[in-house]
Formats: sequence, C-alpha cells, structure tokens
Amino acid sequence: MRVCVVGAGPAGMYTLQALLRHGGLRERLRGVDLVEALPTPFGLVRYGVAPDHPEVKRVAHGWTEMVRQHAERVRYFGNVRLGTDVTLEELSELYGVGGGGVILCTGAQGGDRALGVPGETEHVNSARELVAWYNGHPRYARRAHWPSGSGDAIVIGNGNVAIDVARMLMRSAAELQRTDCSDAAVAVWERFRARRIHIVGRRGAAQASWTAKELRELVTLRPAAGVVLHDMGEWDAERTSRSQRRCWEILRQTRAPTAGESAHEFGQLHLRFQLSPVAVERVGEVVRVECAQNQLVRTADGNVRAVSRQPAQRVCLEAAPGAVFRSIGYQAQAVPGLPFDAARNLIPNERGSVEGAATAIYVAGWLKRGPQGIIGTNGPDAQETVERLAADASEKWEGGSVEPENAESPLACLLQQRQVPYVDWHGWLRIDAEERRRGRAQNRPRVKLLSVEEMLAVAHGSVGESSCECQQGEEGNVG
Amino acid sequence: MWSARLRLRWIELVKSGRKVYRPVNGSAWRESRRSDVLRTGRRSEPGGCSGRRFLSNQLTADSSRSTSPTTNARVAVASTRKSSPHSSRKSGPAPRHLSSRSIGLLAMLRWATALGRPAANDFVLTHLARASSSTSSASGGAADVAERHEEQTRGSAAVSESTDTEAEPQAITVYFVERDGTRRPVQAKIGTSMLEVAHDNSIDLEGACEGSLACSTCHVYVSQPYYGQLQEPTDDENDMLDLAFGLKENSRLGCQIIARKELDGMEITLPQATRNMAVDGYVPKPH
Repeated sequence: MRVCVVGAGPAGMYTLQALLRHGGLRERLRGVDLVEALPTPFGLVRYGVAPDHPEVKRVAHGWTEMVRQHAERVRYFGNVRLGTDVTLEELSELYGVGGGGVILCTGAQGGDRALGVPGETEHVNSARELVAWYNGHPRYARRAHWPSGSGDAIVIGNGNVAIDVARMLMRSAAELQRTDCSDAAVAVWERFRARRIHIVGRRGAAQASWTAKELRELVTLRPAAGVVLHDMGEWDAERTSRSQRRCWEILRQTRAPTAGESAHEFGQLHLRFQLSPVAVERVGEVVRVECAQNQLVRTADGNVRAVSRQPAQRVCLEAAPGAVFRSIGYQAQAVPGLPFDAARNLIPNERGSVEGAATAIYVAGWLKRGPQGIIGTNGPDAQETVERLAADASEKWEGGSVEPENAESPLACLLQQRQVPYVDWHGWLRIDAEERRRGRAQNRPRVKLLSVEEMLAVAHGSVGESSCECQQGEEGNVG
Repeated sequence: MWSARLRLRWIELVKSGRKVYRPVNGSAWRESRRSDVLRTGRRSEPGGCSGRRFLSNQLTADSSRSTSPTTNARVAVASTRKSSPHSSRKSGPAPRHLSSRSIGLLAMLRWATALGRPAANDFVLTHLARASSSTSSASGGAADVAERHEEQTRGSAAVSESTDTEAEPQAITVYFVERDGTRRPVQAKIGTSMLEVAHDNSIDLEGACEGSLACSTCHVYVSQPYYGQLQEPTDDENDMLDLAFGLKENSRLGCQIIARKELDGMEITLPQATRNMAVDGYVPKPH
C-alpha cells in the first residue's frame, strides 16, 4: 500500500514519522509520498517561528534525518498544489488501493480572523502576514505597508503570535541582522523604532492564551523600559491551567517604569486587558484605534466572556501608520468535496478519519482539531490518525481486497505527464545548502531564497553549487 | 600551563624517582608519582598539557555532574581511551637502563601497596624479577607491560587518583518503562542526561529541540524517591512542562535529568500519548 500525505509542515512530518514507525504497517507500507505546495518543506516551522527563536526550529533536524534514513520509502513532491496541479479525487484513486489513503495536513489556509470593525481593511495589518513576510515566505515577499519613523505600535490579541510580533517590534535591526530574518524586514526595522507597544486583549489576564515561556521572554526583554498593566482583571481560580497560573505570576512580578524612565526608553510594554476595538481611523500622522472597555461575566458552562461595559466607556490608542496588527486567530479553509465545520474551523472527523468521505481520506494537524496547539501537539495527533488508518487498512487486508501496485510512485508519473516542475528531496537539500552558503557569507544561520522561481532554479541545479551527490532519476522538468 | 621544556624536565625528574610536586586546583600541590607520569605525562597527547586534561578528568569525576557537552566529551574520551604500549610512548625519554625500569616498577609497587591492590603487587614483583634478569630492549619492556596492566585493572581513566578513595562508579543503572510496558535496565554514564541515555539505548524518547529547553517532547515520569532527589526544575523547564501532555506530580524533562550516583536504580516511565484532542471552549489552547 502507498499513502499520500498532503502538507509537509509539522502535522505532515509527524504523520510521516508515525507511518514509518508503525509496527503493523511495516511490511505493507511500500512508500509514503509527501506533497507540499511550496518548494520547501516544514511549513510554519520555517515560516512561522520567529527568527530570534532558532532553537525551536531544531525539530527539523530530526525530520531531515528521518527522511534520510527512510529514503527508499519516502518521496517528496514540493511545489505541487492540491486543487491546481492535482485534485483530491485523483489522489484518492492513486492511493486508495490496498488499504492506503490520503492524509490531509494542510493546516489553516483561510487567512486570519478579522475584527470586523470599520477602518480595519485600510489601517490594520495581519500579524500572520507580518510573520510570513519577515520570515521570507515567497507569497508575502512584496508587502509594502510597514511602519516608518518612530511611534507607538498596537498588537491586538493575547496569544503567542501577538507576543512574537510585539517582541520582534522591540528588537533592533542589528539584532535581526544576525538571524535568518529577511533583508527587507531588516531594512524596515532600521527605519522604524517602536516607543511603546500596546498589547490589547478582549478579556482579562487570566484568560489570555499565551504561554509562560514567551510571556517571560517578552516582559524581561527590556527591563529598563518597564511593563505597565492595565485592567488585569481578577484571578480565576476555577478554570485556569497551570500555564495560565504561571503567566499570572509572571505579570505580577513585572515592574512599571518610573516617571523619569518612561520618557526615554524604547520598547515600553503596555498590556491592556478588557478592551475590544470598535473603530479604526487615520487622524493626521497617527492611526487611532477606538476601543470599548469590557467587563467579564461567567456563563452557565463556566466560561468567562467579555461584554461591553454599560454605560459605554472608550479608550483611544494611537499608533504610527502601518504599526497596528491584529492577531486573534487563524481560519481554516474548506477543501472542495469534503465537509467543513466553519464554527470550529476544522474538517469533521472521527479520530482522524473524515466523516462522510467516499474514499479513505484522513486529516491530521490543524485541519483536524482546529488552529490551536504548538508544534509538539501534532505528535500525538498524527499518531491517532495513523492508528485509525492502520486499523482501517488491516480490515481491508483481511477482507482480501489487496490489488497489485506499481513499483514506482504513481504521482511522479502523473506530474511528469502534466509537466509540473516539482522539487524532490534532493532539490530541497540543494536549496537548503544554497541558503546556508549565503548565510555563511554574512555570518548568519541562513539567507532564505525569497521567490519560487529562484528556489526552482537552485533545486534543479541550474544555479548555485550542487554539492549534493544524488540520483537525478525522478526530477521534474526545469521550471 | 607549563612550558614544554619545564614539562619535559618534570617528566625526567619524576621518572628518576625523585619526589616532585605539581600544581593542582590553583594553589594546591600534589606529589607526582611515576605511575602518573608514565600514564599521562606525554607531550604529544592531543589537547595540550596532558596533566591538565588529567586534572580536568578528575574534577569532572569528582563533581560527577556535568551538563557541558565539551566536558562530557572529554570524560567520554578519557574513559574510552585505550592506550597501547606503543601509542603511549610517543615522546619523552625512553628508559634506556635496566635500573630505570626497576625504579619504575618499585614506584609502582609502592603505589599498588598503598592502594591495597594485591594482584598488582604480585604482577609488579614478577616483572621486577624478570626485568632484573633480562637484557634491556627497545621500546616495550616491563614498565609498559605494567602500564597496560594498570590500565586494565583500573578500568576507565576518569577515576580519582587520590590515595584515599575507592574507584567511583562510572555509570548507574536506570530502568526505562517504555510505552508498551516493557521495563528495560540500561547503563547511564555519570554526567549524561536521560535523553542521551534513551537515544544511546534505542529507547523511543523524542528530543525535538535537541535539549535546548524549547519543547516538551522528552517529558518523562520519575519514580519516587528519586524524583525528590532531583534539583528543582528551573523556570525554563517549568515553562516547557506546562505544555506537556499528561503532566503529573512526578513529571520532568528527560534532557534535564543528569545521571549521578545517587540516582542509581531510578525508574523513568515514558508517558502514553494521551487523547487530548477535544476542542474545548473554556481552556484556551496556546499557539
């Protein structure tokens, strides 16, 4: 049997790991084909983790080693988009024989959640796009509306992405110059310095969804500038996890700046809780965000919700143009032909098996459980999906429906027929080597290639050193 | 630490049988014994002054708690180094006269007696008798044979050389309880982390961030009373434990548990992958 995993981010790589290590599948699993829309694998590990957190990206080393060890069974097809270059029906046909299937690990591709307030489209940027841009994502390389001069910045949201953006805004260009941050971002950072950074949250500090490590790093980054807490709210003893308790403690130990200090320091943090933006407008040289103050009520099922305080109370925050970011969550996108739960942002599934699908289609990662969790959350998640696939497959084997299979990967033939310039694993290794070579010249971990054309050129060997000895057997045509 | 000329002079003096002292731990001094010099006093050993490396081995063995990979590597190198008689005599003056060899053997006899090693005593005496009656040869000879024997009887090199101790244990026994319930005893070298021990013994414990406290994939449960004997987790470790699945009272990160002799017999249990996939409303999950 052969399995196709669509998406080579954390979910896809952990799914690959679970498939290769599953004892019951060991004899039957001929190969796993890994399909990825970008030429490069690793998804948000490459384009979502901030440049100043290189240790988080080390997980990719283990994955690279895994693919190297199982090279005869794993085929990587980068630069292949589901829906454009190959459809889900075609994949189901190719991989449905003998108990195999297709596992979708494409994550949340529907953009990010919007505030839904007037003025948002013109004046509020998406934190997700900022992150992709400073990480050199090829589809976000040409963004233009970033801040300049010096002024305040506003980040709306209380999660780890909001903290990432706020922390990056506190970094200087010199610090970023030493990382694998894109050069365009370093140039913008040279022109803009954030004086005060406001992090706006709808509920209280006890309901924030950030984690202790990120929060601790943020509030201790510029201790001289100080941290000001506004309307933290009350301590919620009933419904808080250990992580939230420790976050509360971290906030209580912060120090507000004295009157003299606050005038001079860059990077002063203002954590403003119980505020909801209601309107955004440009007023002269600044962007003004008008927020309504909230109060917290406990619902019947124990949740804490924010309701607008009555009578309405307004707080106005001002920021430099281009320095207002929203970071209130990701949205998933429906996959044509499959059911979709828009409220929970996922594909309805039973332990990873898609309900109501005609053929064997599975999901793992954010597409399965909604856009939440960290990189490591995908480990047990993928395990569960692969267990389900293995159980379904063994039923089919017992039922006797095993069909003869080709020796070669069926997808490779299809893509070559359609002349899709896909990137195989050796092509990715060439891209990786070229990026690291450019990084060494500038004393940085790597300098990422910023366009798909450039990546294809390097992957197919026409540009840069081809320092990798590999077979040229299955490469697609030069793009 | 010392110039090359001074070092050579020191080697000669010790081999001649005179009492010579060398610096240890900053300002303290220790008598250099001929056996030390014959075993470690080689100018051509990699890493510079071999005396200093020998000292650093001592210090790491004494502290028996090292998280630095460099020091670990040094200890590992020292403990696995098997010097053959020829490789260990790359430079330094070879004892040309029978009398030098005899003096060396006598020094060793004195050492063996002091440490209470009757087997070494017998060995040395036998060879002393043989050496006194045979003609001198080129490289090789009683001193080198004694040296080889010394290596074998003393085992790995990272053992305290002071005259008052028994050899410290180099590894402890740790029991890993794997996900399917099998309980496996493994040897854990002093100074290594449980993550390294698991990888060395093909135990399925993931270490995504390679021990840099940026993930919680090496999360394990530690049996009592060993859990209580571990040092308190740092804020950084606790931050990562916050995100671990199936967190319990006795949870720790495997990359932060360093083997030392008090933890001999510790049992480490790998957590089951818990079904934590429900998209709950009230406890916001981080991302």
